[in-house]
Order: sequence, then C-alpha cells, then structure tokens
Amino acid sequence: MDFTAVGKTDRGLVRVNNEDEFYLDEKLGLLVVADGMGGHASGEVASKLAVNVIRDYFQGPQKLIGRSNPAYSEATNKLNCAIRLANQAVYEVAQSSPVLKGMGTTIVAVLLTGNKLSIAHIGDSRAYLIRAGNIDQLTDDHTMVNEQIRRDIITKKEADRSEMKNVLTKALGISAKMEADLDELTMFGDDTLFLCTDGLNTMVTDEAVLEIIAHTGDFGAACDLLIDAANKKGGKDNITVVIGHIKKKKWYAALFKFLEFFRR
Amino acid sequence: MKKFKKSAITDFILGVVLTLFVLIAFFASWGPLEKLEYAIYDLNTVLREKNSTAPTVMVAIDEQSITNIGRWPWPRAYIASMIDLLQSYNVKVVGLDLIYSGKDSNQGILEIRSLINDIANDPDYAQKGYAPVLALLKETEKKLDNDALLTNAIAAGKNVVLPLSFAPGKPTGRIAVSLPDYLQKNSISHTGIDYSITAREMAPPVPEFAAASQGLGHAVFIADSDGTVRSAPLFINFEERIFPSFALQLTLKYLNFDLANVKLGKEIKFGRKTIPLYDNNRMLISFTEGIPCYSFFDVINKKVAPTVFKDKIVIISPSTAGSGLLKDTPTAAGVSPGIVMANVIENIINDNHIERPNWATALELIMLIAFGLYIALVIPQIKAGLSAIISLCLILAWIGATIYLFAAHGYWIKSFHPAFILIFGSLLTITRHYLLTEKTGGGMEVDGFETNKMLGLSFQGQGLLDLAFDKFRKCPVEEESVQELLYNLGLDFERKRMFNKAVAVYEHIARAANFKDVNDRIKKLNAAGQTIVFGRPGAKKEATMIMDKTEIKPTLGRYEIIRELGRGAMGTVFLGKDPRINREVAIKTLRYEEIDSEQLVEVKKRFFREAEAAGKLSHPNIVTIYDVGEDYDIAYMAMELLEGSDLTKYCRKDNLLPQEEIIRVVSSVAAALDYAHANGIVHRDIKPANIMILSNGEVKVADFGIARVMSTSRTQTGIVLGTPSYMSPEQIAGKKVDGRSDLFSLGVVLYELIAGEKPFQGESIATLMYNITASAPPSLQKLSSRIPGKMFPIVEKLLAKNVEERYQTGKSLADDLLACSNKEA
Repeated sequence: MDFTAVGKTDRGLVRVNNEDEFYLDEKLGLLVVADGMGGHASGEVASKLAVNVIRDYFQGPQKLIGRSNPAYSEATNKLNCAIRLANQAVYEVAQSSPVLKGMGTTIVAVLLTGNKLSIAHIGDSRAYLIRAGNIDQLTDDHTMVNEQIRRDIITKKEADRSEMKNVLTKALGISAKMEADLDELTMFGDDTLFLCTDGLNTMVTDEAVLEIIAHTGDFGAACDLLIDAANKKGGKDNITVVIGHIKKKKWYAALFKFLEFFRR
Repeated sequence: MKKFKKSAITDFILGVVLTLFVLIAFFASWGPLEKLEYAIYDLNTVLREKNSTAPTVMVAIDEQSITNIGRWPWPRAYIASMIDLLQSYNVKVVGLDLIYSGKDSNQGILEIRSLINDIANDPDYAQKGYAPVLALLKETEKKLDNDALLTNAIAAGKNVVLPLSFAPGKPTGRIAVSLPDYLQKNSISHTGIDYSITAREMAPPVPEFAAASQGLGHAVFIADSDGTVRSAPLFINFEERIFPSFALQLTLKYLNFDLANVKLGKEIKFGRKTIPLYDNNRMLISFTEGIPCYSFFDVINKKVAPTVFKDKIVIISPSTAGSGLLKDTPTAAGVSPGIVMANVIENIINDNHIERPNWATALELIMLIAFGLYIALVIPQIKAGLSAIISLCLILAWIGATIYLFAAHGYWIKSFHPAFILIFGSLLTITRHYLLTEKTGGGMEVDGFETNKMLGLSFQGQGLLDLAFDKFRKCPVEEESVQELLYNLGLDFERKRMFNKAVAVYEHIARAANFKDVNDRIKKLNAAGQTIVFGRPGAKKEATMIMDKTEIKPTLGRYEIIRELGRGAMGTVFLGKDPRINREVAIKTLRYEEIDSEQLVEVKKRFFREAEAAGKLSHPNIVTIYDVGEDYDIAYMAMELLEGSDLTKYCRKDNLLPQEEIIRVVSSVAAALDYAHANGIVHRDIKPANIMILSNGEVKVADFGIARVMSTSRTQTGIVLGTPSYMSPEQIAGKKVDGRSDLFSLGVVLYELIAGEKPFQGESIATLMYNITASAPPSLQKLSSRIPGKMFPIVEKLLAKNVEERYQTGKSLADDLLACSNKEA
C-alpha cells in the first residue's frame, strides 16, 4: 500500500521542555509516538530512548525475541518485541542512575504490513483511525480513571473531577516486565491513522480532530492546525501529532502489480 | 540466520531420506506399507461394491445341508442327482466345485462285484439258473456304483465343468508330455515367457469324470500377504502347460467360447471381451454383493423354483467353515470359493474390472517424488500452520482423486505410498518446526544474545556507552560479530576520551581473540594514560547546589547540609545541622523542577500550609517538625532526626514482630492518628515506610499531609503511582477523605504485620484497585495461628469498605487493641 506520514511535536505553552518523541518510517509503515515522564528532564531521555530502540529494531534484522503470541501475526509480534526491548532499555537505564530513576514513557506504535495494521500501546498516548468520515479510538488508555470507569467504580462525570485523572496504570520502562496491549486491523485505501499524546487529546475533542484533518488537504498543515488548536486551549502539556495516510489504489494498480510479477 | 539455515538443511535431508525410503519400500513391496496400501484398496472396494447382475447362481453345501443329509463326504450319487435335477431345470452351465481325484470305493460294491464276478465266471452258477440273481446283482451294482452315476450325470448335460487341483509352488522344471486328452484339451501350450503362477503338483479329477466333463479349470485362489483374496489367477502354469481357471472356463462355456479362442498376452482377449491383467496373469476382483445362493438341501428337495436356474451358470460349492476352503475378501470374511468365482464371472461378463492402468506406476512415482520435494524444499520455507494446511489439502486431494478413479473407473492407483511421504514428512517437519519455535520462544530471553545485542546497539546509539558495554559483555565474545561490536564501542569510548573504558573494552576482546589491532590500541592507550588525566565527560548535568568535598558546607536556610540521606516522595532528604544549637536534623526538600510552573505557586502554598499544620502537631508518636523555609528555589522542612528503622522489614513472613509488639506499635500509631485527626489533619499515606521504630523503641509516624501536597501537584503528565496497596476505597475512587481513611490504611498495615502479606493483591494496579474496592481479604485465621482470635474482628472492622462500619476514631481502635493485649496477659 502507498503510505505517507507526517508528524509534529510542540512544547506547548506551559512546560519548559518537550518530553514527547515521535518517529515515522513510511517505507516500513511504522509510526511511533511516546510521552516521557520523570523528574529532571528524564522523561525526555525515556521517550527518546524508547522510540530509538523501536526504530533500531525495525532497521535491524527484525528478529523475534522472546515468546510469540500465536494469536497475532508475525508483524504484530515484532512490534511487541520491539516494545519489550524498549521497555528493557528504558528500565535498565533508569536503574543505572539515581537521576533517571523512575523515568518512564507512554508509547503508541502502529505498523502497516501489506494491508494489515498492527497496533501496540502502553499508557495514555492514543491511536485513532479516520475512515469514511468517522474517527475511532483504537487504543484504550492505561489510566487509573479509565480503569475505574471500566470497572464501574466511578462514572465518567466523576472521572473528569478525579484527582487521579492523569495517573497511569502502565508505563514503559518502570518495571522489568511490561507487556503492551496489542491489536490488529485491516486497512483500506483512503484510511487515515492519527497518533497523539495526551497533550492533544485533553485539549482538543475527537470531533475537532476529525474536522481539522478532514478539511485540510495537506496533512502537514493539519498537524500545525491541531497543535495550534491545542495551544489555543491552553497548551498545558507537550503536544505531538502524527498522521499517516493510505492512498487509495487506482483501478489499474492491480494490473501494474500483475505485470511487475512477470518482470521479476 | 544461521539457525534458520541449519533447520532448512536438516528438513531437506529429512525429506530426501524419507522419499528414498518410501521408493525402496514401494519397489520391494515392503510389508507394513503394503498392508496399509491394501487397507486403502479394501476401503475403495467397499465403496465400489454394487449389486451383482451376473447370470450366476450358487448352490451351497452349507451347514443346513450337512445336518439334514449327513456328514461330508456324501455319496457321489447325491451329487449326480443334483446335476440331473439342475439339467432338468435347463441350466446353461454347471460348475461342480468339488474335487474328486480318487475313485469311490465302498465295501458293498466291491463285494457285489466279486459276487458278480464269481457268478459270471463260474459256469456252474449259470447252469444252476442264477441268471436272474446275476441280473439282480448287476442292478444293485449299478445303483451302488456312484462313480458311474456321477459320470453319467456329468456326461448327460454336456455342460458340466470340473475343477483341477493344483499345489502352487516353484515349477518342477519338467515339461509335460503325453498328457491325457482331457488335460490336453483344457490347457494351452505357450510360446515365450509366461508370467502365470506356477504349480508344483496337480491332482486331476477321476479320468472318467474328466473325460465326461465339458471343461476343466483350476480352482486355485492366492491370498495376498495379509491373507485376503483380492485377485484371481486366471491361468496356472504347470509343467509349461497353461491351465485356465475354473471361473474362466465357466464363463467361456456360458458365452459359447472355447479355450482355443482365448488369446493370452498383456490382456486376455476372446471375442469382444478383454480382461485386464494384474501381475502374474491375475485378475483383480471387483467384488459385488447379492449373488443368489441357495442351500443344496433346499434345491434337492425342490423348494427352489426351477426358473431361478434357467439359463444360468450354477456353481456347486462348499460353504461351511469346516470345509477349510472359505476365503477372506476385502468386503467380507469367510466367503465360499463359489461366491468368489461368481464374482470373477460377473466381472468378466459385465466388463466390471479393476485394473492398474499402464500409467499408474509412473503417476505413483511422480507423486512420490513430488511430495518428497514438497517436504524437502517447500515446507522448510513456510510457516508451520500454513504448511499443515497445505499438506492436509494435498493429502485430501490426492486420496480423493484416487478414490474417485477407483470407484468410478476401476483404476487402482497405489495412493498410500505417496500419501505416506506427505503425512509422515509433514508431521515430522511441522512438529519439529513447532518444537523448534517453541524452544526458542520458551521463556523471556532477558539475557538472550539477540536482546543484549539490540539493546547494546541502542544504548551505544544513545551515547550510553557504559550500559552498551554491559550488554555486549553478556554476548559471547568468541563470535566475530560480537568482537566487531565491541571494537566499535571501544572506538566510541576513545572518541569520548574515556581511555580507561576503551582499554577495558579492548582487553575484553583480547581475552578471546586477537581482533584487528586491539593489542596495539591497548598498548597505545595505556601509554597515553600516564599523561592524560581521565576526565569524566557527561558528568552530572544536574545543577545541584550541594557540592561534595568542599571546605565551606552548603546551607539550606540556616541549616548546614552534611550529606544526602535518601530520596523521598517529594524530593531529596538531607542530613542537616542547626549550627546554632548544634542539633542534627533531617531536611526534606521539595524539588520545584518536578512541579509545573503553573502550579508552582499553588503547590508551594500548600506545602507551607501542610508543613505548618503538621508542625503544630506535638505528639510523642509523631515526628516533630522544627522548621520550614525556602532557599535557592528549594522549599524545605527541617524535622526530628530519627535513628531506627521503618516497619517495612517487619512485613515479611520470616521477620514478623511478636504479638505484643504489634499491638504496641499499632496502638501507638492509632493514638498518633487520633491526635492528628482531632487537630484536623489527615495523614493520607499511612504505610509501613512511614512508621518508624526508633532504636529506643519509640514509635513515630512521619510525613503527615505530604501525600496531599504531592498528589495534587503531579497531575499534569501522568506519573505512575506506586502500588496503592494501602489506599482506602474512598481514596481510590478519588473522593474526599477523612481520618477514617487513615484507619483503613492502618488496618492494611496491621494485617500485613500479622500475616506477612498484604490483604489486597493483584497482578495489575487495576486488579488491586478492584480488590480494595470490592473483595474481602483472605481470612487472617488461616494465615496466622499465633495471634489471639480477638485481633481478627479488629482487623475486619478496620478494613470495612463502608466508612461508617469502621472505627470512627483512632482512640477506640487503640482501646480495643490494648484490651486485647491486657486480657491475653
């Protein structure tokens, strides 16, 4: 599939540093977004390290290490494997120095293989799918309040007021073992993927995101508009947005593919 | 990569070996595989089985006949009368499948014969008028002469075929000469090579019978190696004369052909009929069902309508188990030879043949090799699951096709040999792949080579060279790829002017092998090390105001900072000294960096408010706060310096406190909480780490109110909460909390002190939360036997989910606890 991707990150208006990190690889079909946390700017270290480990994994021989989950495709298992490695890397670096101790990061990564999309995430950074004028959240935040809502301990309204709104139940790099939530999806031409950190989704509603992406022809411009929108609402946290788009196949694409087969 | 290649090669070898093995088995007709091949053949035969339409009827010498007529052998006259009867029914051909190779000689007829002889030869008797007696005697002789009766019966209809008995075996090598006419007539001489089954011995019928008969045929059936009769030898070669089978003779007679019309070649041809042949001039029998069969006894008593027999081939054959002649066929066991013959006749007359088409062997070999190649080359390249599916499809398609060919066209393809390669090979390789992947997949390879290499490279890429070295050190240094990695790391260390580290890396390589110029580098670097002062580049970026080893002691407010004690919930804790009164204090600091600037003012305000409130608390069981202040952008709190340890180490099963001590500690904390609650201060973070037992035994509760300062400040970017094991249900739900929440937390501490484990546990934070909110803790009685029963309701009351059901004040808890201890004492 013909895949294009753009991404932007912004410090926001309040924070002194940007602890978000993202990585795009159109050829591999890989999009990664991370939101680091921890004192002394160690969040920056965590998110950067995690994203780089994932990048290195996919630029390397992509060997499956550790247990594979047979319920998922090879690509999804690779993604999971990359995240496991990232977790181990961040965790070990965190343990190595008191300054970095306790650092961690959220991660959301998608990998497009053929028309299959593998999704993995830990924490509250999100992936969305925009298809046929609708926006759907593909990931389920690992936050305390989300968990409480799911278990009917509190209502959505109570959640908005909760003191623990931003407390995560899972993060990459805070323990030696951490498994990401995995999912798979079949993609079609003209689908758009949207990844962001909580700096965006706490400021801008899903509908507004859809509106901006759908009505901006250029995805790079859409990223800027989304960041502007979040900053207008206060920009309380770092903002990262990544948009990936699958081009619709032309009717003769199949023919080309057919011919290509013979050329080989 | 190496692993994969290795497994592919062994798969290839496995496929090739398997194919060769099956090829050899195929040509050698190796028993076990042959047997399975037969099993499939039999299954196919059953599927092909139809109702017989042949003009054959069988008259069975069965149990019923034997019981009614008498023990076998019956007098030959019986058989003669049967033949006569059948002739009167206008049968077309009679096949008398009974071997009569010797003359019938009973004592009676011998006596009468000698009498006749005597009378006829003695002239005296003739004179004495014995002629009528002689006539009578001759009459009797005739009646008793069974052989003559049977000879007459056989001769009468000119349509009786008799069996020849052969003992199959290696040919004697003799060439038959001067055969009697009847044998000459019923056999063919052959030219060239004949493949028929050979016999070493022959037992022809009594010459009179043979001469009277219309034809002779051998009644030999040869079972396959598993004892089942699947084919009928149409010819037997005895002393280079070729004798047709009994069934073939019957068919010829029925169709008005003579043996002379039969052409024996690759197939047997006569008239318009063609009979395909299998090995040794055998014909594969396509078994049918429903061949009419009547009891000899019923027929002889005329219980069977004559029309049944009209114009039919009638085979008289034994069918009792006692006869020892019964055959096993693919469709049934213990079948009378007559029925088998009837099937042969049916097949010839209806052209219903099972044959091995001449392309069969070629096809089998092609499939055998194709499947072998599939196992050797294709399976190793695809995933186990997919290859299992493909193999299954191939097997089904192959077996299905052969079954179809067999059932519909009578083409017998030996499908099992190729299928065996497919089934066995797939099973073997797929299981092996599965096991292999399982082996590598089993367990988290935290220290696996790949993991270490990947992480090491990532760390190196991040400039975390020390960590990278740690990782690479765990890889096998004997491998050249690892040496290369280490060498590059060494160069990185050199670039960063960390020469001692570089030397360490090179030395690590040098221990395994002389890689590139490592030894030179070590020498050079060691020489340089004499003159270069090792710096520590990338040293702490952290700009703390606390400096080590300086003459002037840093200060925070009026306190001299002596050293760092540890890191707490909100910041670093230092050992400080109030120089004015020379008192050592603990100084807790609040790091502003961790707090969003937006909230800083608010947090600071709250910090001072909480500190002020806590500072007002003056209780023997509460850590005293002396002072709060702000300096160098750091807010701090000076408090009593305590020597002792917190409760965490007493929460392990192997290090539990004695019962009285538990009661003393918890009631002290309860008293402290009671006092604090009465002053409107909620601790919010009661846990073993916040309760100290001093060296002198005093119990002190630390960190009042600080949890509140921190919890509301760190809300911007998510932080992962430490495990909230001690939180109360209302705290988890994010509701407003009061002193009773502290009592719940204290309940958790008490439970842990008694049992050595936490009352609420969970694999994830979410489960833990749920358990705190909804589940009851495991019963304490079961976990601890040494604690008096009166303690249990206290713990239970403390851990009540509903706030109203708990102790409402710390004092009432302390009272209950002390009462408990007093009564016990």
